[in-house]
Amino acid sequence: MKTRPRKTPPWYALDHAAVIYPPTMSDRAPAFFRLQLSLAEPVNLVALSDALQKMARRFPLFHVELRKGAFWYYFERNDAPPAPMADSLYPMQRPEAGKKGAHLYRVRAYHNRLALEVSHVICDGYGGMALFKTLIAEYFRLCGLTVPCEEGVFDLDAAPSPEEWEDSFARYSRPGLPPPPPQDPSWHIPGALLPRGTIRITTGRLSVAQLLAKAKGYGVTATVYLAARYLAALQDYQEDEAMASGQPGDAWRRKAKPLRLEVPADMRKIFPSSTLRNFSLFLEPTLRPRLQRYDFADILKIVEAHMALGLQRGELARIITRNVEAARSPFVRAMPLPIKNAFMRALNSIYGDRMFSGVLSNLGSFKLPAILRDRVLAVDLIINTSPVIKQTVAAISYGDVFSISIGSLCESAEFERRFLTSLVKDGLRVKVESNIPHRRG
Amino acid sequence: MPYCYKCGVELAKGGAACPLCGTALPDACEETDAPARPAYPDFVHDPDYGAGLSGRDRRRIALEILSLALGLAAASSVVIDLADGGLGWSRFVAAAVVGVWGVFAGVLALWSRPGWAAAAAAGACLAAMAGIDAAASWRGWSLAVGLPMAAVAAAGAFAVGASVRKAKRRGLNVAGHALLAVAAALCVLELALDLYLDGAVFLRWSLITAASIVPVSLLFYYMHARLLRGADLRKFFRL
Repeated sequence: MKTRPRKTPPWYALDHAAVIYPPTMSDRAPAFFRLQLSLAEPVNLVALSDALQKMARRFPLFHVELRKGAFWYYFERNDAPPAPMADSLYPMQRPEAGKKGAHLYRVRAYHNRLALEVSHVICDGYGGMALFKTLIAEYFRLCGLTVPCEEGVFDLDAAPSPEEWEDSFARYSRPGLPPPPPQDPSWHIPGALLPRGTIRITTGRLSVAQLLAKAKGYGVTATVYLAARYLAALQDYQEDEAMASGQPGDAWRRKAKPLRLEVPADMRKIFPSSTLRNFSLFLEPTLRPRLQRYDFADILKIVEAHMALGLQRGELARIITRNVEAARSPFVRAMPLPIKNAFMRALNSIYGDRMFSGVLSNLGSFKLPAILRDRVLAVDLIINTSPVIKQTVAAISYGDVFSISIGSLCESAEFERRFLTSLVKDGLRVKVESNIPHRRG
Repeated sequence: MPYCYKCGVELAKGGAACPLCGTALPDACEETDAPARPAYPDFVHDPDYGAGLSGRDRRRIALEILSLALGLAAASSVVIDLADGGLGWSRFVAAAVVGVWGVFAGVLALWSRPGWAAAAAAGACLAAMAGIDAAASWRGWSLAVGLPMAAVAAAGAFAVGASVRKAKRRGLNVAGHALLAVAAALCVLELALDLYLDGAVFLRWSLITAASIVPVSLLFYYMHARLLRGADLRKFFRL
């Protein structure tokens, strides 16, 4: 039997973590994250463009555009490679759902800086790193180097595996598990926001060896140390705000909201999966200022305990199950998209933005094949924020450089100052740069 | 390597102030041997620029959809009317549909020339009114009342559009302009109706309406001038 050529491009469903992003995307919460490299040489745009051309066949998952259906958003295949584009003062602008030809990832260049901006609608940090490493390797191959497929670089000649676009949340959902208990709303940094479409990125770079030695001195991991410093900075900020409002003594503590961080964790380490789509959940280290003021040693213990408890397989499974079963509910399925969007925004507000005072994402070590180590000088990670949470912290290490980027929507850089100077006071050398100058709050 | 003596952090070369506390860097601390490049470009680049349909394509598609919808509405009215015994009420529907189509087609086709677009829309309105007048055994109201109304509506739309284009800040002042134009149009309507029906002019309800509308428009102008120029709106509304 003859098969007629397909006239319309194929479509795909969003994974269970991604469905929350399209309704909640806005100019201030574009649901993007960004990996950026500083190269030893200026970016060769011809080689970059040629490298991008080769990505579509190996990474079909990324070559899609977001479309609106009657009941759900969906992906439509778009094999046209995105052209490299100029970088911007304010990175990670929101894509427009339903706009023909608008890809969900972008490659941007500025002198010797090469950046990949990826929408969380298609993947998490693991998927973004896979695409970026493969793109960088191909870019340098086109520049004349022989780059092996190692350290997470995918072979462009190999066929994509179906497991790469598996929705692993659906695979590990176990209907019947009790949902996680609801959490109370947390405290948020006050203050006016920056204008729409703008974001302040403040990057602090420090030595990996120094940081690991410092964390080891406290007997914890680098992520636990940073989360503890983050919570300590928020605790001081909350106290100073309460004092500034003129409340006597500790009276404010009776109504003080908790300080809670969202710390994303890669589920692939716990539930075997090789998907490139979203497959991460978050841990929730929490301080309760109503109970007491915590010193740094207390905070370290609390964060470490929260992280250990949160990574229990059963605890994670019930979060996965709640998310998947909610999307599978006939009631939710039958909702037309505009109503579903309003429903999703409310869910995101209750279980997302309102629950967390901040976000700390540590993507870990970014490794490249040895031949590229002298050609790539630094790597930074910048993650999405929202007008409620206002600031997020993203960390990544490359060689001996540990990069901490704070994305903030606040006019005031007070949080950045408190957090980064707390590292300095702890004996770490931090080098700071920002995309926009300081503005007093 | 320059550093901030208040925060204790090292800073990138070429920076004028600490990004954390705003402390200005003393010149002596700045290294001038290497050209300093800011960490990010100093321009904003829209990543979706060039993606999707152009404005012209969008207007062409809008015109196609409008033509199809209105054409089907007019044709089905005529068919129903014919099945009901003859060409009667559907003539009014057809004339109104042609008028509506003409207004939108004129605006969409002459999008970049607002003056001509307003004139075309007024002409289409007038033609539709003349069609309806003719369908109901010509009484001349379309010329006596419709002509001045179409002219005033076109002139008002053009004036509002031009003033909005020239305005440095657009906000409540646009609503103020539109309300003034409506007040003027209502006065002309009563004037034309009086002349057509009584042969004499005695403005009453239009003046009452204008007296209600003009203070609102003045309030809008005041709020626009006070809030936009006198205060920071972003702080005012916590935007």
